[in-house]
Amino acid sequence: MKRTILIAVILGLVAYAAFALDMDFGVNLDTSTFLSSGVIDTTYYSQYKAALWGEMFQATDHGGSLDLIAQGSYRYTAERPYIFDLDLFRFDGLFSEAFGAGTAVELKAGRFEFADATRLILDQTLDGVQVSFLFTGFQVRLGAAYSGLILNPSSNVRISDDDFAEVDNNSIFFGPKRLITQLFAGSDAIALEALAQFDLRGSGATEIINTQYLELAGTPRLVSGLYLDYNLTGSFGQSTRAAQTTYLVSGLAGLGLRYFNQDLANSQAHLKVTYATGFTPVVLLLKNISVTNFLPMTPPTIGLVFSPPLSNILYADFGYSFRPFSGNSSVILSNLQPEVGARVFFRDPFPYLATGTAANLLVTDLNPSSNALYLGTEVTAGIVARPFADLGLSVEGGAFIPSAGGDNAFTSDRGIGYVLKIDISAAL
Amino acid sequence: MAKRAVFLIFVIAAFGAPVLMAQSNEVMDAVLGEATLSYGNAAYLVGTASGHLAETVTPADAGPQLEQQGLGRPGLKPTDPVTLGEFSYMLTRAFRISGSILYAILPGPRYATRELVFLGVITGPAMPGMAVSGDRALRISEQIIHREGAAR
Repeated sequence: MKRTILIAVILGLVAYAAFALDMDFGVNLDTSTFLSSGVIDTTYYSQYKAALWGEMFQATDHGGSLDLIAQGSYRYTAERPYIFDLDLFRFDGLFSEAFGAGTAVELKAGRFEFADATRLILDQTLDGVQVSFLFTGFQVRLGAAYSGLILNPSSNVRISDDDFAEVDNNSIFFGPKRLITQLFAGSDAIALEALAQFDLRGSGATEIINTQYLELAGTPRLVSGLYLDYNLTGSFGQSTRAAQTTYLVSGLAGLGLRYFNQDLANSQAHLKVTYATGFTPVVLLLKNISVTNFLPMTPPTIGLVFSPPLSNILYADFGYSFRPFSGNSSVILSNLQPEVGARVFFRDPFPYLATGTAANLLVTDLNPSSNALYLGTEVTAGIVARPFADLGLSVEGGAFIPSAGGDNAFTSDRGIGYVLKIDISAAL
Repeated sequence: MAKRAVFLIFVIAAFGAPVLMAQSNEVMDAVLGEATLSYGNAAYLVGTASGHLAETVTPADAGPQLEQQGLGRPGLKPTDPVTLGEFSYMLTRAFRISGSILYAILPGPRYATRELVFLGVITGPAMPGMAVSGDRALRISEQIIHREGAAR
């Protein structure tokens, strides 16, 4: 950590001496308070964070730029009273007109965010390099990253059983070691993306899992303000336990609509159905090949109160937000944004259709003797406010009404779960 | 020239044609031609756009006249370069933009820049100490006039 900071300081001084750089710095303070009642499945927790950031910037020819930004933070949670972390350390070079007018090359290197087009498979700060070739309405992006230097509490790279076993282990300093590669080609309307992660745990691991993903995704415009939102992913993986390898086949698909209308109080709405495969044992008849749970590299949080793993799941997600006072001369009022949402969850129907038994799901109080597919419904409501440039607030509450008791998916022990989440951020 | 025309349209919309008609084309051309905005031209832009100065004022006189109203940057000569932060601070005061909590406590170029970014008046890289070109200063002025016009 000290060496990283020293290198950052030296690089900063060299860069400042070599170029006439513009500089800025600041402090961000964030609190996130999480209150819950009843049974919940999310892993949020209250935390308090103070971050110091600095940035050096130089504009170059034809609208290009060189940008170096770093952010270090102190984070407090009840589980871990002190976490000092390097959140961001990124060089970003934009070289305009690299291949003629309307083109550019962007080079990013260091510690920064990597994500796939849906953010459902990969969404994580990693150490790596990314090169983007930008053309008018089209881009090609290549990236490679390593996850083994991200602090364990900051890492959401969780794929194998070993990865999940280390989540709350304070004796593990760094997160799971993976080499992650990414290739993206396309536009907003249609893009093809290939992702892969290679498990670098070595021989000490109980299981080594490598996975590869091929994803087609996009949000093409249908009519003014209305967009189609689709994604289709096929995944192939190799799981090796005790020198025996099983080949894993899984999939993820989503289809929905997004609506934007600035004239209607800045309304934004979305409705999307997402499906992720579950374990289907009948396919094991094919030797060493298993249609199984979809395995994202970084498991996403898909609900506020009920957030099951993104596998063996079929859910519909609806959300609507608007700014009732948009256009008001008061900045405080014009930036008020109420929002509501609802999610309806089911298990993957295919294992049940293929075998007569619904696949298991790792959530609390699931009824083991039930084959019911409907899991329950979550409703949420909240408000986001940005009253000043240096202050942001958001309050979001939700309830999950489970399908419980009798032959339903959950046992009668599972009551309604409630969550209230309050976020406050200040920029100094 | 197209940018100047757009700017002039916004000024017409905001303050009326009589004020604008005599505005100096030469000054606007000089502003557009500046790779780094000078204090004299910055004061001219801020003063005329906000209605604090007559359009007949020269850039050399704009700074001192704005300073007399407490809106300039004392100590700067008309030919001295102006940073994005200084230009932002002149704008927030001239347009009476109340600003954020920290701007109220520590008014100055740093938080004035952030305020204009927050309001969408400044887009793109925005560091208080960076140089601002005449072209960019005109675009910022257009945005703030547009915003003020929409808020009325």
